[in-house]
Amino acid sequence: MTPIMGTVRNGQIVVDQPVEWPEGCRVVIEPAANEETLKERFRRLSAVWQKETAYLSSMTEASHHPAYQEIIHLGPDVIPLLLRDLQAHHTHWFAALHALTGAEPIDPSVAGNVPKMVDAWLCWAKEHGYQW
Amino acid sequence: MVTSLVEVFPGLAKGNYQITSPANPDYNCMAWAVGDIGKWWWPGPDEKREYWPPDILREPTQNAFEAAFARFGYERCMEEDVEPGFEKIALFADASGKPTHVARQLATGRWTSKLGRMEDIEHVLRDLEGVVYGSVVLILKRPVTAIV
Repeated sequence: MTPIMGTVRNGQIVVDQPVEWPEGCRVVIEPAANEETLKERFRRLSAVWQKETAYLSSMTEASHHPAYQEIIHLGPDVIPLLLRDLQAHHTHWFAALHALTGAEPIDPSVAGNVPKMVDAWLCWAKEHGYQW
Repeated sequence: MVTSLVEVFPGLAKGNYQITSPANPDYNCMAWAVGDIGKWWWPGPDEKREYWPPDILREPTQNAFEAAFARFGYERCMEEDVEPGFEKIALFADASGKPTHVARQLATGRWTSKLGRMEDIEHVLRDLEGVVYGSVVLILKRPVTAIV
């Protein structure tokens, strides 16, 4: 059986993906041997999110995925990683950036135009001193 | 992490499909179906991230999609088979009736789909039915000469 990764939050373990082990199966939980760096956690969660939502037509539904929400919970330190991925791959981190910064630099006239939405966020980030 | 199309859409396991573009997060199935790949179209709640015509009901319902397609000259029809002189679109929805995907028919009778942020593929219409996209709930057509 493949090991499952997860994160402790508020005294509870939130797993990164649904557990498909047999009902009643006993489990042993212990901290991961090596603490993941922020970058490693971001990459792992991002990969899960991509795999499980890439086929969705709705950005909103994709951004509600647990891995996406977990990335938001990584906090403001993850913003440069989001910006780098946004710039390089146009990954849909718009909702995450909004949740983390409170900003909404996208003009309604470019709604849905992903390249222009990316530009708007990168421009905003530069103006606000972010480096990525 | 690469997602296998067959893993997501088991109906494609018959191999009767072709990938016709690289993955692209800039447009989705609706954009591809209506021929506007400059935008990500979907009637989601966030008006700043997903495009939807402002004068059409903005909610993920079959009625909203039918109204949007009507803007492009499409009307309901019964048959999904190819009809000379007409273009057809198919709307997929999940078990609750919520739209999940749109495919457009090619002149050959096969269908073309943009799969979320993934690739465009050419396929047999019903091969995309299943857990992920649900089933085809609506077929619409328009004359190929329709002017938008």
